[in-house]
Amino acid sequence: MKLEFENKEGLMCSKCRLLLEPGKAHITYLKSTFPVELLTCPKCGEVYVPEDLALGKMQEVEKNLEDK
Amino acid sequence: MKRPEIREYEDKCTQNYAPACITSCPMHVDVKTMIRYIEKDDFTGAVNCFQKNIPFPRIVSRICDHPCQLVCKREEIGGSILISKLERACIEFGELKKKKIKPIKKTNKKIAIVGGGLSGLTAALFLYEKGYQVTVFEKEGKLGGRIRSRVKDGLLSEELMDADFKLLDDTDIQLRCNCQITDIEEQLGEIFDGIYDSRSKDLLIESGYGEDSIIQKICDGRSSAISLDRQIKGVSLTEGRENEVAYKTELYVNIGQIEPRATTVTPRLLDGLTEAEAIKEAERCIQCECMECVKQCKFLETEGSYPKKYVREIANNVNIMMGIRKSKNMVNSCTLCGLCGEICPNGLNMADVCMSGKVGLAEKNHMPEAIHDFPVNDMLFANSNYFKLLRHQVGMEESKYIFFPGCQLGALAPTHVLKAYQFLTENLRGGVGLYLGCCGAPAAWSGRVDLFNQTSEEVKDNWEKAGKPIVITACATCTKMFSEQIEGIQIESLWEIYDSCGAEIQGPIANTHPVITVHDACTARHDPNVHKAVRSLLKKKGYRIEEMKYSRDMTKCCSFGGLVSFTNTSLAKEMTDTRAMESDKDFVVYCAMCKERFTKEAKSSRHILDLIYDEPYKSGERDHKYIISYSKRHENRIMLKRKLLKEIWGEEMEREKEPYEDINIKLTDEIERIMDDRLILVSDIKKVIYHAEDTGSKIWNPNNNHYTAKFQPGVITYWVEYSIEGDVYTIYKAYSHRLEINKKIEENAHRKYRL
Repeated sequence: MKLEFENKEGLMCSKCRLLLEPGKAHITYLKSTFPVELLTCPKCGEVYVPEDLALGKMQEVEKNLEDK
Repeated sequence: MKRPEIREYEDKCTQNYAPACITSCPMHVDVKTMIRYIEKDDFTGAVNCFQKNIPFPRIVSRICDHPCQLVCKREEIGGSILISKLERACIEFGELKKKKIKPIKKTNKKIAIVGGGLSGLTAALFLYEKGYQVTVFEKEGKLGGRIRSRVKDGLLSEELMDADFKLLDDTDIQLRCNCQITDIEEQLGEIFDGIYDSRSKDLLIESGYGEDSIIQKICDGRSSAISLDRQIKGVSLTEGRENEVAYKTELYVNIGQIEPRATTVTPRLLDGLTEAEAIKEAERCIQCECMECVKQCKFLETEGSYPKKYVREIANNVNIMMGIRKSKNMVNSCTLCGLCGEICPNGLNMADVCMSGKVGLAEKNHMPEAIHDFPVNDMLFANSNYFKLLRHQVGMEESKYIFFPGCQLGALAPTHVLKAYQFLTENLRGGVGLYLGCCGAPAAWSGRVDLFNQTSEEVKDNWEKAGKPIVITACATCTKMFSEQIEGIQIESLWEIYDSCGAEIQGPIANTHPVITVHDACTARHDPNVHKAVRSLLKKKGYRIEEMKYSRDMTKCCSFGGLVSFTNTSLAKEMTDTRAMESDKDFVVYCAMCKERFTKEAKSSRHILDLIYDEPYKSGERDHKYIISYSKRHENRIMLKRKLLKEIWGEEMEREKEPYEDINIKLTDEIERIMDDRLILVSDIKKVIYHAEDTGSKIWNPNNNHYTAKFQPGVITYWVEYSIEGDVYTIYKAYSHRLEINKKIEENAHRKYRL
């Protein structure tokens, strides 16, 4: 799945009042850690995971890691 | 899993053993595959298969004494397959490959073969292939020995024999016809390194079809050649030769369900079959195999193979250091019901294998907790102060009995627990205490030994604290767990008590059909007293029971066992549906989770307590009372404890409220259904909102004024999209994931995934 990095909806970090931007976060699961690109708050780093990403690509990655 | 343990499990499964037709053939012709080819009208495929083990196929196809036919399983159900005739049909209608035998590695060693019959020639070919310089001495002018005399029978011809013996022309085997050997030592002793006298039995492994058996002659030649080769090389003459000649197979084949079918071919001694006749005859072959357990288990069937292979795969997955562990899904798809162990003639129980696999993976940290997080948390909830309760009967200081209704009956049908407890206190003397909680099955079924032991210890402590009373259970799983874990515990099922106390039970409830069937709980498989009590109760109630084929000790699982309904939802659905179709009658169950599973998949079923307490319903209708969300089940447990405490012991339920509980949320039925499918509780949602509003960490969408926030209370991260109106939070989306997201990037993050 290709992640749309543009913040088309104008999502904002409620705390910092800033538009979310494509940014880096990291994901940890079952002793594996790797960086990902997600919409994040440029100031506090708050991340946003949309429903289709959580139930799509993220589940696939979970399954792959769980099989190891 | 240790190697002897794996071996012990594997050895019990006979599925990969050869059928009797193959093992009774001293040359082990793969009759089963050969017939399969014929059935598909592939005579060339069939003849290739036949030719693989037979050096002289034309001859054998005509005059073999076919011991295979004597042991054919079809014999009892319509008559043996005419294997001999089928072999001949292969030769006649298939394209026989021209075989060329080449020595693997030539040696200077010289071998003499005395006798140019089938035995001697087979030995010659075998030893030539091994690299020896072979010379055959035949006293007559032609090869073939005694089989030449069969030409007059009309089955064999000189042409057929010569065609088969042409194989020798393409080799460097020296053929000395018209050469009689009278004194082996004197004539051959000094020239040859090894001598095989086909007239003697010195080098044979006895397998015994007698002097006249053609196939035995060929086998004798091969087995003597193997012995001679080993003798020359100085290796063991016996090692690894157990099944070299004909032997009795251990393959289990159940012919009970196979329709008898006689051959349609009119036997003609000298003629072969037509192609059509051969195909028709091949169709009668039952293709012997076991697969008894696989036929009755959706899990074993879905995995696409059979237990022996599963055992190896599971063991490999537990024992490997690195790599993919595909069997994780396998062990989590077994309901641990044990039906396979009952069916298997050698008692191979895949529940033991899968459980061992689960524990092994969990011990090595290869079983992610997230997989079983929901049911394990449900167990922890049932054993928390929200539900846990331990009391003597009101006004009593001790308990002769203690009622343990289990965690699911209280969640799905709390009023039944109230009524059952009331019944017990009214009918039993000596005090009936009450113990609400969970037996720990979810921890056991997820392979978490420590958590299970801890839970069992707690139950044991509480039972001892109550004075070691007789435990009355309403759930067969609780019975099984307690009897396996707690030494000296005495358990009786609620159904036995109802039955023995002569509960006031009258005729069937209005609108129900008087004929029902009983779906026994798989964890009560070995509890005949329970089977008896349930049926006795139903008969007293006026119902007639039409038993299913798989009931009592042969019952099947509803699909809740092993937590499969959480870990493999599509397979669980298939299992429930398959079981539901085994009878068109309403099911009567005596396990709350069996009830839940059948109701969920729309099978008309009743819990026995529904019938005892005359809860009206219409035959064939789904029972909506049991379609309850997971959140509601939590509420039911809390409500039950509160009600019991208040109404029986006159106490208020004391517990500190969690701050998130006061969050006021609004959900549509559709969202609630989605949440249930995704195993998200209302309390999970409230925790997310509470956390977001408390910390301000949330994402705002200016287009619709919705907020999206996340919270990770344990191994799962929950996300909620919501809006706020006054103090009401309306929910639009709820989803979760197992990956843990962190804001900052670690410098040494070693792998990159692009999502």
